Amino acid sequence: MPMKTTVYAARRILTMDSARPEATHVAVRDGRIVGVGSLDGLAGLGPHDLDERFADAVLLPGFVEGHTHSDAGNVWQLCYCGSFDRIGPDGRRWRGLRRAADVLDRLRAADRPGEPLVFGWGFDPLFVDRGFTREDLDRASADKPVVVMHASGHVANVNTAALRVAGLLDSKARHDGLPRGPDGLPTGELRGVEILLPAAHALGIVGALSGTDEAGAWRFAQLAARVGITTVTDLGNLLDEPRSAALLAATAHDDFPVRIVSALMAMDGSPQEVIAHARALQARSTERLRFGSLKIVLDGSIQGFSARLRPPGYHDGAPNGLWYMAPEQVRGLYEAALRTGFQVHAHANGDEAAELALECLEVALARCPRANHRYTLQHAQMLDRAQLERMRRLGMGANFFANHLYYWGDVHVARTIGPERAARMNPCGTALELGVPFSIHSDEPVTPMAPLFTAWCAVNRTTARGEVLGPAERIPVAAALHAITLGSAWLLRLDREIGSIEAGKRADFAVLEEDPLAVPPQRLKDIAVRGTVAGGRWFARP
Amino acid sequence: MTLTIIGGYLGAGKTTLVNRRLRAAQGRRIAVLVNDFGEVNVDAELVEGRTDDVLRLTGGCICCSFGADLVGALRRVLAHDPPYDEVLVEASGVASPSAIARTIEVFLGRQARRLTVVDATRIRALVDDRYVGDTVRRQLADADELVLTHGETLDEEELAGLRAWLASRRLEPVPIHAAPAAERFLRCAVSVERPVDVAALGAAIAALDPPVERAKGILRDRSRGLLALQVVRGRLELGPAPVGAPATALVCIGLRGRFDAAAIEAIVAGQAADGGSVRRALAQ
Repeated sequence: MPMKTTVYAARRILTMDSARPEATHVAVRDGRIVGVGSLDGLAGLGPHDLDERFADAVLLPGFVEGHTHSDAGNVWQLCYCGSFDRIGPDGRRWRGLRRAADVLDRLRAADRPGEPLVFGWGFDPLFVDRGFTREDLDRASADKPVVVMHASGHVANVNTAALRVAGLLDSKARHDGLPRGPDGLPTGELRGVEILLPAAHALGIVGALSGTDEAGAWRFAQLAARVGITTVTDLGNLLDEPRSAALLAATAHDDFPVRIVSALMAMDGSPQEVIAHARALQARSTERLRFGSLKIVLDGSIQGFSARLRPPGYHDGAPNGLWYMAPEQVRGLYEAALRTGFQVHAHANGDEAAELALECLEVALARCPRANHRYTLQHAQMLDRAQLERMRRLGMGANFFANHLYYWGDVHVARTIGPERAARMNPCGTALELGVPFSIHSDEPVTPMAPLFTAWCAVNRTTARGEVLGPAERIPVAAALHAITLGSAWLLRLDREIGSIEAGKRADFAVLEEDPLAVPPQRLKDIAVRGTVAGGRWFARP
Repeated sequence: MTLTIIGGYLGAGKTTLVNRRLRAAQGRRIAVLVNDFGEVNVDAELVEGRTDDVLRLTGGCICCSFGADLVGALRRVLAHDPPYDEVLVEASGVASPSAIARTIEVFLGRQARRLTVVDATRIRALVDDRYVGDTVRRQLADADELVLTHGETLDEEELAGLRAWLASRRLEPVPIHAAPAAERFLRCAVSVERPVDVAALGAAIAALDPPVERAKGILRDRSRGLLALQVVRGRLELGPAPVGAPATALVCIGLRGRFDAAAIEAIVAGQAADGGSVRRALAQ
């Protein structure tokens, strides 16, 4: 019996197919697109159902988010303390808080009997009237540990009980990461991985931040689906048996609303061990769960002053950041991966980290040539024109952290890298001009996953304080829409299957209430997402 | 109980040092903490059993993988009864031993000795490396003790020069120990009595498999006069000879069992094909 064909009518379909940029109808059979055009033009497909539920909506290819973390499914179980409104996977809107007193109230309300601690996240002192001392947080809970992670991920405030559990209350040693008050005791602020990470282990909260169970994978998918995403990248997962099994179990359900690309964190073990692990995972890939790519981390973050910068370094004179890998290790992994065909995504925030990645890949490619490798630089926030030129020659792609422009742009101007280099951060304009394939991302849970917002950042480059940061690097709306669909798909080596609306590709659509090419660019982020079609299935926004 | 952090750049010889201490334990109970078993090779003959993150070693010693939680692993090791006599923490190649020591002091109230392993053949290039130079300089500057490895591939004068250079990089003096040669080295000197194509000769020596640990000499080039040639584990460096320096033999050093003096002679003979005489002066 022939499969049923459904033809969807829409107000407008923006296909991202350069051969047919626009259409009004798309025909779907068995989860795939079988035709795009006008109703008349599709008549030759034979008997079909005409579905007009999107007749007043605008269809785009399902958004493809190229860099998030599946741990995002977990943090929404905790207490959001940020200054910007955010929406959790269940659709609950968490109001952004600008007063420390309000944050304390929310923490107090989050203290539930039976829970061992009170755990807040997303706090950003830049936008709040004042910070916290341990005594402040003792008022949220006097007996349980209280931890408030900052949005940067590199600092936390804790209460007295948490200091005691971490073994820090009586500590006598001086350390920059453990500031002390007039009484000589720690103030409760934990700064930098050297103090924060061991404390997090002692408090038992690392698992809450980095383990994805099946329920967490569902929440992660719901976060993605509600903003129009049909393919989401979990960029950097240890993918041991429990973690990979959880993803496999969750994505096995037909009503799982997104496809997950989960890259193996390739920082531990020899290149041979990493490749063997990736190969074993790849054999377990399914339609909705794609294994087989690798993630490495070269440096830290710019706002945490741990990114590696070329001269002149940090604007405020802070010492250069940290290498997370030695050059020999980067080269060794590149060579092993090129030989075996596995793609490598390299986290490089600072321009020196990017330079090292380019140099290592150039050497590795000379020894192990491979066409169409599409190795990427992730975040790639400080790339200059020369580096982008070199990336194009090497066949690389960039995934820019456009959301940074809004959330930390003002800090980058004032403190981290100064106005001149901040103006060319996340240089989408130059990448577009030079023809370097690129996408833009959120790094959820670091900033909110919402491709239309991320596109808005790349188009407007407006900071939280309302400045326009580097107007020359702004890109047209059409280019930003390409970046969040076919651009990401290309970077993930999935452009044969997804990223545009054309015959043969998966029936993945983002269903929008308004036309992003028709609204003023400043309103791009405000366009409502009605839901998604993923593999031909309709998922109404919860 | 002593607590030592063993730092040093990738390939400097940290694991070799750890293995040597384990072999020489002589009843002392040693706990070794490593970041990841994938990067460390504890001698197989020392291993008695293994679980996911602990290797039980001979003589009551252990080796634990601490993953991301060094302080937690160290807390467990320090609380062990009976106590260990010595705890060694092997840091990653780009880590700062002093940063680790500060963290340990803050959380556990213990002072750790910071030992940095230095590869005598690479350190001068590494401190100027455009990427890792600052990391390596910090490893040198912060150490309580330096251990020189691969010193046996340097002659006495070079070694003395290196020690003075290391001392000059420090504000205060620090003990500099030479690690005993991990394996026996062989050495041969080949005199090259006619001008040759020094670049081609050097490239051929650098490409030897198994590689030579070190090759050096001041040789007369057919068209460029005297050139200083140096090969360090497969990497060729070529430059003009120091002013006034005479031509020397080509000295090659390699590991016993992996050193093929005949192959070196054949390369030199091939380069001096116009009849330049080739002679092996010394092999020990």
